[in-house]
Amino acid sequence: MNYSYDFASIPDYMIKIMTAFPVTLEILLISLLISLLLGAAVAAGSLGRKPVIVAISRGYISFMRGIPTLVLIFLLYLGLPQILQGCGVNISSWNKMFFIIATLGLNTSANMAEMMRAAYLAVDKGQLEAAYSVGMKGTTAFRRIIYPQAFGIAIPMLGNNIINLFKETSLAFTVGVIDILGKARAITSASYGANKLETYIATGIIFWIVCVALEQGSKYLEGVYTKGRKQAAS
Amino acid sequence: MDFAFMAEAFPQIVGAIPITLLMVFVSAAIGWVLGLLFALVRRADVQFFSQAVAVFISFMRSVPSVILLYISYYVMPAVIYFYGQNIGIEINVSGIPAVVYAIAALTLNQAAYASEVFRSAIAAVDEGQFEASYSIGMNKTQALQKVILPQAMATAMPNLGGLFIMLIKDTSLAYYVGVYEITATANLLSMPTLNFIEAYIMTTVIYEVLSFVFNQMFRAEENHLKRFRAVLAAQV
Amino acid sequence: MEYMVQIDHIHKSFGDNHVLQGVSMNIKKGEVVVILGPSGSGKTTLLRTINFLDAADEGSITVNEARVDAQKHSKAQVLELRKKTAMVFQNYNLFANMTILQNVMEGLVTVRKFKKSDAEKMSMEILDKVGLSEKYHCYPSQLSGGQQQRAGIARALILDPDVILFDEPTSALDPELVGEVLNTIKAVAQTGITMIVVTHEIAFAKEVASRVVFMEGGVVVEEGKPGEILVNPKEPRTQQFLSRITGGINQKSA
Repeated sequence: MNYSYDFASIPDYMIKIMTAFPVTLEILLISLLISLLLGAAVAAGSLGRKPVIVAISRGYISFMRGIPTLVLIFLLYLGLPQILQGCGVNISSWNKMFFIIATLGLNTSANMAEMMRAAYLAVDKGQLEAAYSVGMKGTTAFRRIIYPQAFGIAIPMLGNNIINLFKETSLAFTVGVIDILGKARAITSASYGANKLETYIATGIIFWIVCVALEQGSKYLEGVYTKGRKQAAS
Repeated sequence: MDFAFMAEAFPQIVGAIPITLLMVFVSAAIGWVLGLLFALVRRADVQFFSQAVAVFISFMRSVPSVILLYISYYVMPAVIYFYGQNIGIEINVSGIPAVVYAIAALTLNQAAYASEVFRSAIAAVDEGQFEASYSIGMNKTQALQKVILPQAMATAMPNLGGLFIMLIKDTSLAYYVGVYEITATANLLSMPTLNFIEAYIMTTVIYEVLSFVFNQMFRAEENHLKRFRAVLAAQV
Repeated sequence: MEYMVQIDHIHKSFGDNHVLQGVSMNIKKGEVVVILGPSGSGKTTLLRTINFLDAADEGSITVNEARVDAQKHSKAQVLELRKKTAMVFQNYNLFANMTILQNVMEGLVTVRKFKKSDAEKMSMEILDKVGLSEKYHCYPSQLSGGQQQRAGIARALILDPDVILFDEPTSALDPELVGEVLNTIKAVAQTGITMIVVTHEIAFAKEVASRVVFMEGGVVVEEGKPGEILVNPKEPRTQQFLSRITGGINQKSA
């Protein structure tokens, strides 16, 4: 058995792998947008007054939190085309990006919904009453008073959700999209499986750097946003 | 829907649950103990160790599980092999089942996340609790063991529950290093006849049931641990 | 318009708890009504039904011709009612995401559609009046409770409401900060604005109230001039309450 490793080559691999970073970024940003929009709708549903909609929203969140991302990818990528085929719709030729983005968008939307719900509930009830007491409408009170405070509360959680989403983009290779991990796999298979360890470590380091940057960014944003008006301790 | 396929495949997919649960239980058990240890090391601010642990945790939390699994799968054999040579044994590395590498990766991943959970849970315990413990003559270890950790556990429990569910879901990635757990079994069964939708609906149901059951168990444990708080809340 | 505020047979329940059991009250322009009563008597709930923060189950509220029927009303009517009232909260409830100045301006700009520059000028003037000239750009969390409550009063005053509702405005304050807030409220009372105040401060009631209302068990037990109710209450329940709350010193401070 040959266990010779060439760790000095890792930076070179990192540079090669980074050529696929725009694909990773595209997946991240589009699925982030979807997850925020969908998450907002689900959060609103779960906080609403209609029992049926509350139940559906809660069920959606719970379902998405129970299913492994990989299984959801398989369901959408392998299963969905079969179902739609039965209905006479052919989506098997669709861009593979669609499937990974849809999976991550759906999956993350549940986390986003939970985040928004928790942040909304964390805003003191008196704030809404005070807004009403000066004559605001519900929508105005949300826009001017509740949302700005909830956003500040949600920032750390939002950072976490984005980091998790970013990590999950690594499953894009499953449907054959060449993101950074896909690129790493392509490099190793081009050299017949040699240097596997080096390329995976190189990919790991890229994820590490970006995650640390995202984390710092989130902390910075939180600091700027809540400057001078920390949540009251009580 | 191909019900004949489902009837045939379902018992086989269910048969893979034990291997999934093996990974879950071993990784959680070792990972959480390690995580608590990491948290205490960082709290104690031990020169070098604290920083090393912090870097390790940051790496483990940042790298996607699938990459950790790959790294473990390709680096562990060498580590074991050289360790064996060092102590004078020739270990047949290729005889080690893949599940060991999967567990190693998942364990370290859990340890990193759990250490953060424990760290914030310990920090959330009122400083006065330490002072009160010292005031009746306890030393630091006794204070942690008798007073601080029981309270911290109540705070940590919901997050540990979340980690546990995450771990169940992460075991599906062990498929990529060749472990025949639930997802891999379903995928392999569906391939020859292309019964993807059937196979993955069954897989989804199994994971949802597992998540639900363990979620309920953690909720129950959380309520049990929080009983001292319920009294407090009623008084206010 | 004879009365500024008409409270007409208000009922309110929370679950099985029948908190308000048919309360009626007519308040003239410029009156300062102080509502006293033990905790759980329904006094705070009554105050909160006046601007429909708690929607009454039965009865109606009329503030300066804006009438809201508990059983049949539109959102627009509630909004209209709220525009004629303002409230000062026990826990201040200043908008945590805004500075003191922004807090006071907010209602003018967002609800009354004033020009920002005008609103700012007016807000500064009113903040000066309550003694917060130095604190325009502080966030609520940077102020003491007394300062926060004075800002809360400014936020209510600037809307030039027909009636201001005070919900135990000094209950959450440290004892040494109560005085500054009571003085501010007294100053407001002297401007001739209609006020309804829920409080435990008997001495304050004596000094400022034009009418004192004693509530217990969701009904008005007794009402009248402070000199009558606070010095010679007729109802045994009022006597008991007063002797408990003042511990017998109430004669001395009169």
